[in-house]
Amino acid sequence: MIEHTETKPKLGVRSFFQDERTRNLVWQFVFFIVIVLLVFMTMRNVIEALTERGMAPSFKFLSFSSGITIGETIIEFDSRSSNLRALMVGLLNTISISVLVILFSILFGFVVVLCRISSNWIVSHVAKAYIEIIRNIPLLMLLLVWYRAFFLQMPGIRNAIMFHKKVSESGDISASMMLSNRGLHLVWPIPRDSFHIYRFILLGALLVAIAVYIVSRLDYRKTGRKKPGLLWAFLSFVGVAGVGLICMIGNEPFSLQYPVLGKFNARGGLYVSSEWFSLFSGLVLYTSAFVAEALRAGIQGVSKGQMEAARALGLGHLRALRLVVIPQAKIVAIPPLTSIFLGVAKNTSLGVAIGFPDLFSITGTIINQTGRALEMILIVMAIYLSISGLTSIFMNWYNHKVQLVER
Amino acid sequence: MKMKKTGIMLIALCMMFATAFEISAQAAKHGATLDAVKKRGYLIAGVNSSNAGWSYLKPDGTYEGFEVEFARAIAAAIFNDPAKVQYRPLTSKERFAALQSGEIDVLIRTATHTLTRDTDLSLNFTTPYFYDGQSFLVRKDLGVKKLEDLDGATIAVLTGSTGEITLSDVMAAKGLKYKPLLFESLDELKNAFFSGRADAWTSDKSSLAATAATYPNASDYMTLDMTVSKEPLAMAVRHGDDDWYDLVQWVLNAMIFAEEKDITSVNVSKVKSSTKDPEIQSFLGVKNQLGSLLGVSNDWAYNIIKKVGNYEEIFNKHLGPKTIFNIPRGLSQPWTKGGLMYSKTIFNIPRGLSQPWTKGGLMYSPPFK
Repeated sequence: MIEHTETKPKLGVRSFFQDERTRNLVWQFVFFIVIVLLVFMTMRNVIEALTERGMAPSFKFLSFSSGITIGETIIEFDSRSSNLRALMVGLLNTISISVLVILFSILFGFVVVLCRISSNWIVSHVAKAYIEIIRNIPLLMLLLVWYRAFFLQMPGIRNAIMFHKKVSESGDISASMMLSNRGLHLVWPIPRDSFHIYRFILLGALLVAIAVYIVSRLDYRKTGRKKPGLLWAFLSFVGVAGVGLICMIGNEPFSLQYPVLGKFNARGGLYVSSEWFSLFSGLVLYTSAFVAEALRAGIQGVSKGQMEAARALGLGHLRALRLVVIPQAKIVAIPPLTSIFLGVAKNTSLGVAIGFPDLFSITGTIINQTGRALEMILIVMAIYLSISGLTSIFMNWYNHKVQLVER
Repeated sequence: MKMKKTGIMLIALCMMFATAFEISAQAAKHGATLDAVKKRGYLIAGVNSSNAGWSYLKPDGTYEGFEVEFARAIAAAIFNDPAKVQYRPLTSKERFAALQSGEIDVLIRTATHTLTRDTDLSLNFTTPYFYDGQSFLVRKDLGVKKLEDLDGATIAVLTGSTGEITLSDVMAAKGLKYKPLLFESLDELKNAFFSGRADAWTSDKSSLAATAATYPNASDYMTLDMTVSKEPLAMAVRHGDDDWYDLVQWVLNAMIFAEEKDITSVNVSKVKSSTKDPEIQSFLGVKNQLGSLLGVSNDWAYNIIKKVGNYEEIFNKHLGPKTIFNIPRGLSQPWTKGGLMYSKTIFNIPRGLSQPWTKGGLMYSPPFK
C-alpha cells in the first residue's frame, strides 16, 4: 500500500486518471459544477425574464398589510396584519392538524391492525375490507364525500342538535353542546381572575408528576422490575390538580362558557368547524389504513416461532404481542411509517378543496392579492421541505434509537 | 467510456435548459404576439370553464358564452374564422400567471381592471366589456337588508377573486365582524352555501345571478340591493406588445361601434354595399386601409360583425331576455338619469353602464378615422 502511493506521482498524468478513486472524485466534482451551473442559470434566467417584464422578484410584500380575513386562526389575526403573519396562521393550522392526524392515526391504525391480525374471522375481514376500501379511494374524493355527504347534511345552525338546551329570560338560547353543519360548539372552561393562583398549583402538580416519574425510573434501574411510571406520573398530576381545584371551590379558577346562539353563528365555548373536522377525520381514516398495513408488515415480519415460544412460556396472546412481537415489529415498521407521516403534512393541503384555511390555501390568497406567485411558491416549497425534513430527522432518530436498544 | 458519455449528456441537457429559458425570456416584443398567433394558425385564449352564460365548457367539449364571443371576434379579425381559437380553462388563481408566462395570448375571464394588476402584474387592460359590481346573495328568510345586518355572519367567497379583498375592506370600514369561508372551486362553494353552511355568498352580481339561476330553489334567495365595489371587467394582455394590445382593444371597439350604428350580423353585408357614411365605409374596409394599420386584413371589422355579431347581439344571445338569466334590456335606466341601473331581482344582470354612450351609458368607441 505504502509503496504504491509513493510510486504513483512518478507515473504522470495518465495514471492519475487511471486511479479509480481520483477519477471518481473528478467525476463527482464535474457533476457538482454542472448542478450548480444549472441552478444558477435557471435562477438567472427566471430573474432576468421577470425583470424584463417589470416584475423583479422581491420579498417586500411580506411586510405589507394583507387585507384578508381568515376564518380559523390559532394566533390573533385581522386584515391589518402582515402577509407574513397570514403565512404563520396557515403554517400553524397545517402543523397543528398534521400533528393531531399523525397521533390519532397511530392510535386508530393500531386498533385496526389488532383487528386485522385477530383470529376472529369476521373481525379480521371487516378490518381487511376497511383497509382495502380506504386505501383505494383517492384522498380528495374521500374528503369531498365526507364533507358533502356527512358534515353539510347536518341540520342548519337554527335547528342544531343541542344538549342541555337553556333559554334565558332575554330569549338567548345556550347549550352545552351544539352540533350543526357549521361544526361543533362545546361548553369550555375559561380562566378567571383566580387562575393566576391556580397556575402555581398546576406547576406544583407538574413537578410532583416529574418527581414520581424519575423515582420510578430509578427504581427500575435498581430492581429491574418495570412499573407503569408514566401512568403513575399522570395520576399524581391529576390528583394534585384535582385536590387544588376542590380547595378553591367558591373561587373557582375557571368559569364554564356556554355557546350562545347568535343571529347567525353561535358564540363562546369551544368551536370546531366542520371543515376542520372533515379534514381531520378524513385524513385520520385515510392515514390509519396505511399505518395499519405498515404495522401488519412489521408484525408479520416477526417469525411465528417467537409468538409460539412466548405462548409456550405461558404469556397470554395480548401480553405476548406487547412484550415479544411488537418490540421486534417496530424495527421493521418504522421506515414505512416515516414515509406515511411525511405524506400527512402534504396531504393537509387538500383542505383548500373543502374550505379549510391551511398553509396552501392562504398562500393562494396571498398570491391572488399580491401577484407574487414565484416568491410565494418558493417560500411554500421551502416550508413543506422543512416540515418533511424535520419529520424525517425525528423518525430517523427514533429508528436509530429503537435499533440500538435491540442490540 | 460510459462515464464520459454520461458527462457529455449532462452538459448537453444543461445547455438545452439554458436555451429554453433564453427563448422564453425573449417573448413579448412589439408585434411578436400577432406574428406568433398568425404563424401558429390559432389564438390561445384564457377563459373560465364553469361560469354559466359568461364562459363555460359544454358537454361536447366546446366553449360557449358572452366572454367566449370576444375570443371568437379576435380570431375572426385575424383569420376570418371565429373557430380558430384554442381555449385554456383557468382558475382565478392561475389566470394572470398563465398570461405572464406567455401560455395564453389574451385573458377574457371576468378579470376586474385594478391598479395593482395593471402595474404590479405588468398587464394591459382594454376598456371594460362589462361594468359589474359586487353584492351578496342571502336567504330571503334571514331578513338581511343592508350590510350592517351581516354583522357576525359566515360569508362564503371564492378564493383568488377581488371579492375576497373587497369583502374584507368593506367589513373593516364599517367595523363589522364576519367569518370568511374560502373555496377554490365554485361547485364546493355552491354546495356549502346552499346547504346553509354560510349565511351569505359574495361575488360579482353577474356571477351571483348566473349561478343562482341554475339552482332549483332560486326563489328562496335574493341579491342584496346594494353594490360594494366597482368591477369593470376587461380583457387583459401582457405589457410590452402595444401592437397586440391595440388589436384586442379595437376588436372590442368595433363591436361597440357596430351596436351604435345598428350594424348587425344580419344587415352588415347590405350596409357595406349601400352605406354613404364615410366612417362606416372606413370601418367596414370599403375605403381607407384601417385594417393594415392593425396588422390584419382591411375587412377585419366586417368579418367580426358578420361571423360573431355586435355587442348587443352577443349580449342578448348569452345574457339577454331570451336566456334563463332573462335581462330585459329595456328596463335598464341610464346612469346619467339617476343611478347605475341596478336591478332588484337576482335574475337581472343590469346592463347599466354597459349601455352605449348614445343611450346614456359608458360604452364609447373612439371614431374610426
